[in-house]
Amino acid sequence: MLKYVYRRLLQLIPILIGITVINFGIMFLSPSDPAERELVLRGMMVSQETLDAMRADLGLDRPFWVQYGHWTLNLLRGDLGNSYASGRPVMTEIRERLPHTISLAAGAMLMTMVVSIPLGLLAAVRQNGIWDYLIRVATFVGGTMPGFLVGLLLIYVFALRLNWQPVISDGSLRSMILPVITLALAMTCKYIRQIRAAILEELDKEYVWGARARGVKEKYILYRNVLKNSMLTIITLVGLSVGYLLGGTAIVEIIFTWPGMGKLVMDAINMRDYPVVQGYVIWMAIIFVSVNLLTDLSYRFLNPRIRLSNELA
Amino acid sequence: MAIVPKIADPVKIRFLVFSALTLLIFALALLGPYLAPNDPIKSNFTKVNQPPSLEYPFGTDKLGRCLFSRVICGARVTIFSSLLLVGIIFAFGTAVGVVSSYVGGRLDTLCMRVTDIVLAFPDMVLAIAVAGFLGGGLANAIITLACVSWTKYARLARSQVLGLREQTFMEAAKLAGNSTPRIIFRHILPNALSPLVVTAALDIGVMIIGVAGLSFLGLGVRPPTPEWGAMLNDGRAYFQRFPGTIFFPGAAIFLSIMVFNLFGDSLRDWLAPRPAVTEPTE
Repeated sequence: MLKYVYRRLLQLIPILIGITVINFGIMFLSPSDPAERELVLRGMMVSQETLDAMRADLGLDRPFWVQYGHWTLNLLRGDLGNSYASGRPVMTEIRERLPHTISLAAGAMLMTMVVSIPLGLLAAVRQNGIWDYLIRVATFVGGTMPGFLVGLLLIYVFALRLNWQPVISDGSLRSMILPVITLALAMTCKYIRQIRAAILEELDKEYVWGARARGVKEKYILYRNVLKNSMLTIITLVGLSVGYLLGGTAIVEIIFTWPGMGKLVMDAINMRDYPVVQGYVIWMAIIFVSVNLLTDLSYRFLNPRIRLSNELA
Repeated sequence: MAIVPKIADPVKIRFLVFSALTLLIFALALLGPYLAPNDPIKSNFTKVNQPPSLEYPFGTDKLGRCLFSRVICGARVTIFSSLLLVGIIFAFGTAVGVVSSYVGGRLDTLCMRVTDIVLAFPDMVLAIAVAGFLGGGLANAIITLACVSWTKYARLARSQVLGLREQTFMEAAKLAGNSTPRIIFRHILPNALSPLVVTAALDIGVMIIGVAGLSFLGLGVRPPTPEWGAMLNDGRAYFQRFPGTIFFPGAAIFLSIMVFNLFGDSLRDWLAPRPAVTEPTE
């Protein structure tokens, strides 16, 4: 197991290097000129001489790899530069916004789990019954709705027509309900279908028939064996949906003016505040890669079959 | 001579029905500009935010533009850019996957490292960043989404080829002295294609969400071009009083994604591809 952890950590190195190269490369290729921007910001005259001086001052006249190396060293020290718009360190801005995004994503994940496990189980146990049919239709419709549409419809019904919810989130738990539903709906529908399929597959295995033949109670089989064995599917799903969650927060935060990373990056894009955009991408990629690593490790840890074959090999 | 009707295969019927619906949507999208009763771009400030009427079946928006015409013409932009995208990522991803796994060695390692790196970014995060740096515009939105979505096809194609390489007929094809391009086009692609085609069919809806989503964020189609996601974004400020501004484009997005997803599902059931070859973990 430990050997596997080391190997996975080693595999991460080229990926992390790739992430930083891509991230820096996009910025390098972007059409806007930070030197010109800086001059305008300081109210200095934009001429060829002042531009050249500012470029030299900011280190923009040096070759790509030198600039990249410089940027990466700063990144390792936790320095992502300063925001063009506010002048504050990008790290500070991100530190303020990240908790909001994480609470939104965590809320959506929690809701997905709480809703999809019982419903997936119900649909599987009552296969081809009325509940199964209803759940299948509902999950198909729910899975088809893009997040931005769900968000607008929820605002229209619950905030504007029924007045149950604030239109703009004020950060309270109550105002989290609609954003969380918006983010979680499509994911919940996907989970329900996958969990249903996983449980049906598990129910068809011979040990279930064996247990039934020995007179073990159906409930016991279901909760103690089948659900437990289907947990691996659920963990895989969680790992796969973190990327969706992190990306989806941007649209949800814009709709509900939620003060998280997505709102931060959209504002930054509108103001051509590239260091903030870079910081956003780096942080999101690092979170995504770490969660995937944890999912992989927990998968190995929880599934003795993979663990054993891995250690024997 | 009377033709004896065969017992209808429900899977095939479903597939035919949804193919017909899909084609109908394509036709509507193609003919949109000819079907629209009004100019989708021309604003008319004497007729702002009107309720549905005979002249304007869906009413008008904040600039007095006909919503019905905009939804109909928006179909062309949204649907055809999604189709184009699926075509690009299907062709590019499959080519990368097939060639790298068939050639193997360093090229294969390099290609897989590149897909690993692209996959290390959450799709939408990378799309937002690239679109943000490139600036808006439909072409940039398509480039952006293509950059982040091709990896799926590369991996799927690769796992298919790795499975096929072990088969006896591949040995035979090689021993018979076929050239590499001929082996790839005549022996590998036909056998590897069906899961890729199913993925592509199911991706049409995903790409609609992508294109409309970027436009909704203001990173896609530029105004005044009618596009469903951009229309939703436009309607956002007014929909308390004029719900039609989000209802009609929203319904258009929802219905078309639903039809494409049903089409993709029925295609999958009809082709019933063997369970996808699982990717080797190491």
